[in-house]
Amino acid sequence: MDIKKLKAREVIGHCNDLKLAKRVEDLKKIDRVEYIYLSPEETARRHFRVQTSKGSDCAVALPRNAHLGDGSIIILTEERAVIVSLKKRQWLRLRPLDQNAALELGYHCGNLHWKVEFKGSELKVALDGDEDNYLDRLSSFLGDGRVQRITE
Amino acid sequence: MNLSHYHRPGPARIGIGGPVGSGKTALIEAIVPRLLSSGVELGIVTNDLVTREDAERLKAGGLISPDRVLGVECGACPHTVIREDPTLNIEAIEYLERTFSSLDLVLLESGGDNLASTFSLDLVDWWMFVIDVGAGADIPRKRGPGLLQCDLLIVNKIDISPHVGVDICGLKKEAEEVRGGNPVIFTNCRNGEGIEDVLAHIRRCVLLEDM
Repeated sequence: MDIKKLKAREVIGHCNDLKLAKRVEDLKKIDRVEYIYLSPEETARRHFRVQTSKGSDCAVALPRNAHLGDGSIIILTEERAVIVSLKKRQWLRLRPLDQNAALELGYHCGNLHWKVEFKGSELKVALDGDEDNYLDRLSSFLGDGRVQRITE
Repeated sequence: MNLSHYHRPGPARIGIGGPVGSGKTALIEAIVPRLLSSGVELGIVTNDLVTREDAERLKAGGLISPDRVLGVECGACPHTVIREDPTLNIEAIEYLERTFSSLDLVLLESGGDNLASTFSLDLVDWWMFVIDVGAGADIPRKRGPGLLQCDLLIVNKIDISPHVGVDICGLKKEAEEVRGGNPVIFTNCRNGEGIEDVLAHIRRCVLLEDM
């Protein structure tokens, strides 16, 4: 099967833009919309190559001031639209047992340069890659109960 | 200030990280002549802790015009200027972009660091991490973030494996395993082994050639 090769050199707009939405909707009706899936970190790249949801090989080269986000249209022709779909960030939710465990956990995560957020008594670690790599490094905390993983 | 370079796709930016002595500068010395001979316009930024040793080495090597090489003294842990606050490096790259408007590619060499060192994608579009056989066969097993998250892992100095007791097949298997299918290339930057494979990745993934 021939793989289509596509090139994107600008962010044309957003799929909710009034002027563009109808064109995108029309292309959707005839199954001519393709998506590229990017993590929040990957939206910072300005030169990259990615496979679309329909298997096309898409080369992207954008100006540095371009903004890529969920719904950004990078190709829009009579034949097709290519739209960015942002992958949802995955989080590991942790709850330390007490103040001492919280201090140790905070130091540990900082030492590993993990991106974290705080929500009440929880510490949330932004996952960049395989979750097991994070769990391995937390095994002593999780093993002796100083830190509990929240899954609900 | 001329900001026209901001409104069109500018040169691609590649980061090169890895431990001290793994062969980052040697890798640059191996790929630069090959890129230049195929017409790629290049700039280079190197980072060192408190000197500009790597920049001076590249300038003195005669591989590239010295004014296309900038040295940045990071003055702290090298990872801080490629990840937490890459401002110094962004300024250096933008200086090269303003000075040489036809650049296709800027190579950014990090100062030697540990296995946790990673690049911010706000700074580079794509990055390689260089480790070397002499550091031991267990390096992939340690699963450092640099090794796991880079776009291309390079295992350099494969020629010395018999002298340091490293089983190159075992190392290859483990490196590919921890990378989960992402690319790993084995090189000897001194004699050019593996360098064409590295260039093929750069041409395809970053320079977007063959499109």
